[in-house]
Amino acid sequence: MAAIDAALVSKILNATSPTGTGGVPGTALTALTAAAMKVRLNSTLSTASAAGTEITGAGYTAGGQSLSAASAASSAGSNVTLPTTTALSWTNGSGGQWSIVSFDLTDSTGVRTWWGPFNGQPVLVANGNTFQIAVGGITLQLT
Amino acid sequence: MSLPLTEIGWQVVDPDGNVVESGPLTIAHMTAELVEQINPEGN
Repeated sequence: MAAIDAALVSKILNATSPTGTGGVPGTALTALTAAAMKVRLNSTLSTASAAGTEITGAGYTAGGQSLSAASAASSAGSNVTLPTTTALSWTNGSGGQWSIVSFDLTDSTGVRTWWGPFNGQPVLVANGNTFQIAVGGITLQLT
Repeated sequence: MSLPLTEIGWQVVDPDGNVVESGPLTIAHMTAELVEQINPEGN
């Protein structure tokens, strides 16, 4: 089981508690754009430092697909899962085969926050077929 | 591959709605950008 570095734990605690001068919150985390976050699909493996190469073609909008509903917020350290309510779905109309390897979760402007490889990648999606990320198909965890 | 519905992370569906292939849940990792936000000094 992975764990969070103690320094990272302190950053999170300080940003969300009255550790600033005069009892204000401590050093804040940088806010993400307050619009629906997106899941983008890649034909190469993302890494912690760089996004993968985004897939292209009819059926896929550059930048990824917006998440239309809120995920249940983390409580007592619980995981956050996505998507919620409905699966994310892309129908390949590119005329060729999609090879899907990884995803990136970004804010609406493309700032990445999380990434992951799809188990069993590359996932090959023939022209005319649909790739779906199931409800709760992606788990974000910090414990 | 056949998975319980609660363990499916992704699936490929043909135009008739048949599941061609599916895979398990995906665990995400923090990006360097997010780590930088949380820990800008790299401590």
